[in-house]
Amino acid sequence: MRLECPPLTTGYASVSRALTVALALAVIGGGPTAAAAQDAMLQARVDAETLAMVTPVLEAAVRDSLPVAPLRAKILEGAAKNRPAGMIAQVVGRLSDDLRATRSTLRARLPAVAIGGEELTAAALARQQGVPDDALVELWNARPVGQSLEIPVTVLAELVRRGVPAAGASALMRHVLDAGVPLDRAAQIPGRFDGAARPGVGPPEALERALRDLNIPGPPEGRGPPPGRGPPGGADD
Amino acid sequence: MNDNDRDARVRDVLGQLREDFRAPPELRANVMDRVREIPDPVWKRAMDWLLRPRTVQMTPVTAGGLAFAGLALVLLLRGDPAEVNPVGPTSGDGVAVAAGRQMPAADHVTRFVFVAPGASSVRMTGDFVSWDPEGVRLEDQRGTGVWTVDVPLEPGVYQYTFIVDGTEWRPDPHAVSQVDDGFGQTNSVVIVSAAGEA
Repeated sequence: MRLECPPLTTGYASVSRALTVALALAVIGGGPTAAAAQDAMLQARVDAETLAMVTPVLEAAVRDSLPVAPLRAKILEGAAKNRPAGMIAQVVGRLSDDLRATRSTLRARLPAVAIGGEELTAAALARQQGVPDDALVELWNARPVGQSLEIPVTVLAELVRRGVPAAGASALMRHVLDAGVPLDRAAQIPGRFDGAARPGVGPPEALERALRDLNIPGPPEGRGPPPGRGPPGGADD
Repeated sequence: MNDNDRDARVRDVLGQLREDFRAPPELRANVMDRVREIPDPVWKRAMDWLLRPRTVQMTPVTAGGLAFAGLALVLLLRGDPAEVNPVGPTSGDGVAVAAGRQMPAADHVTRFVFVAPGASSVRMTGDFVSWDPEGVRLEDQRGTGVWTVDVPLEPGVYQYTFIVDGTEWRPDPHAVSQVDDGFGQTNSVVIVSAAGEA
């Protein structure tokens, strides 16, 4: 009598490769316990087909020292939303490409600056939302020592997405960093902006009202265009 | 004793001092014995007791029991980040209110509010719970359709969404931002910052 087993090669291969990724994560700094837990979570919640398709992306990210956490989160998000393996792999691959491109751009302009994983993720999302590289570079140049730019970059992106010219938004956020404005107040700028924006009130006025509500002074003269307005006589970005 | 006698005496003493001193062979041992007889202070004895290596023998059952107790203690202290105690609604104006608003008292606790009259359950998931479909359960404590939950979050930027009745994924209409999730839906964004942080 001969027993025939279903082909399990794909599943075994994907599990093996996932273990490789977990080991790499442990070596890089997640620690064996965290890596094992992460690997267990991926295997428990992601089907073998998806795992097989996304593992090369994770391996490449580990190899290139890209932040893996946002990629893992996107895989788990796709699995939670019951998306097909091909779509999850495509979305995760695109996110990986965005992170890689953003890091490459920032490194070229800021070769001596260390960029954290959360900061890089925020910067990639900011670029998607229309924040020009110059504005990001200016923000990094203004970063106080030891302070994460994840929240300032996100606020900058939210202002740009709301129609505030990038140059003015960048000048404002640099001023926020320079003046030591508490980030819990800065984080409220987009929400206050939304509260002030209504028909007949343009982005400059809405931003001015938001800053006034939050008691955040605008950047001093000569630091750049007023927050809500673009550079004199030209398009902004 | 006149001056001459005194000088002679002094010279005699100096002469003796110049002679080689040969300690008796048992002197060192005697001195060390006396030193050992001096009791150590209590703190030093305690430190010696704590730091002195020794062989501990135990049965495998005892070792396993200790390991299990330690693991249980660690799990107990860590708690489950997905399980948070909901609190009652803070605003009841009939519309979704101040989603993502930060509560001032607790450490980085963020209150999420979602209005879903008629819903039988509302959960919230996001990258802060690794997109676990079970997520965090919201409570409608007054039965008004205003579902709330307080979630302890470290400072950072998070994406999330609500799940109504276990199947319907809905973004927070009052979040600070909505972003394309890449899967054809929308994620909400919350910015969490530590109060007073510069």
